[in-house]
Amino acid sequence: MKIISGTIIDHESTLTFEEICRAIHAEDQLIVQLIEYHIIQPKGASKTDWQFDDIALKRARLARNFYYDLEVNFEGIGLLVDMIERIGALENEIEKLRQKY
Amino acid sequence: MDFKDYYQILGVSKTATLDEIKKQYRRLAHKYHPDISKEKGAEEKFKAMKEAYEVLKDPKKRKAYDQMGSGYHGGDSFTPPPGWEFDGATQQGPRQHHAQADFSDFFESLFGQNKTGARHHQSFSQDGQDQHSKIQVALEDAFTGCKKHIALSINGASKELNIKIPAGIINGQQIRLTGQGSPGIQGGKNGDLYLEIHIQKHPTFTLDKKDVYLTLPVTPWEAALGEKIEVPTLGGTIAFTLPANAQTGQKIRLKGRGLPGNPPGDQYATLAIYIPEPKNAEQKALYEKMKMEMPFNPRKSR
Repeated sequence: MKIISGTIIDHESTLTFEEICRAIHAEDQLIVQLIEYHIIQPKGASKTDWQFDDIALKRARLARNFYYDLEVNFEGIGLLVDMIERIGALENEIEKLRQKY
Repeated sequence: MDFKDYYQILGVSKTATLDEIKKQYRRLAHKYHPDISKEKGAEEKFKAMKEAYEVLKDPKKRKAYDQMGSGYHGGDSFTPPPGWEFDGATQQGPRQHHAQADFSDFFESLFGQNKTGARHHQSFSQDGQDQHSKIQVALEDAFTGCKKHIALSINGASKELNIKIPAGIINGQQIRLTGQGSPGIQGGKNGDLYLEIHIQKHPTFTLDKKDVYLTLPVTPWEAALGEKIEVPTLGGTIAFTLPANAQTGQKIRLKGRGLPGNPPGDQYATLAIYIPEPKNAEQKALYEKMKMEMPFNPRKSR
């Protein structure tokens, strides 16, 4: 079977506005609102230049799930996404501290 | 296909009010939402709940489900009644439309827009949807890069792929495979597949993005004299000379020894001094000698 390579999404290989909408199955309007509420921040000044990196993709996916599944408003979604990131960082820190040889 | 008892799945009675159904969904969603929950099988449970809620919260769907489903029990073999047509589709807001992305065949056969047969009649072209999946990668494989065989289900069809995981991928990062998502219809473009990388926990090393952390045990003399020791890294063991008078908790930075990349990550070794247990009188005497000749109170030196 053929071996296929993909592209790692990072700060250099980014997604356009249309691509991120399709990637997370979100309406255009939802992504625009996530930007307005500072939940995700694209690079670029206007809609046609917008670039979404791996962090934006991850946060947008979480936000999208909360939006469709939990009926939470945007203030709540922003808070949840930030909290989940913080919990992740703390769990990682705990793991480092607990590490034994 | 199996009949699904949506009331049982959501844990409400057949006579539950819309308000009770909403409350119960919210309660369960907080517990089982896969992005929040630590419960086992949360993802599967939540998917089933979401589907049940989609039907029971919509009076038209609920009525149709109740009429059609009376007499069935969860798990019974089920085929939709001949000529079954659900035309009560309420004007759907975007929230609903997107939520239905991956409901069961049972749901699709009753309320879906892609009801059996519908696909064949479609005459306009439509792009395939992007798909999302997760893939587990061992830390060693993330370091060296590897090939992975994955099997996944896309729109009910199973698909197998051999993919290349490049060296130095970070936990949580996504790989985009162009054209490997849902197939397009009538000449529409294929969707893409996004694979989220989960680097598995390792007994010795911990990750922070591209940096690697390790606790390194050393002897008192290695630490005091600043001796040359061997340090395990993902790329193999390397020799390292400790600074003299190194202490427990001190972090040694091995530049560029983390996950590869541009720039590569570093490795941090946190020293932990382990004392040898004196096993006979002579060895005990050594400690006694140290006590006499090297008066030291670490609680005062701080």
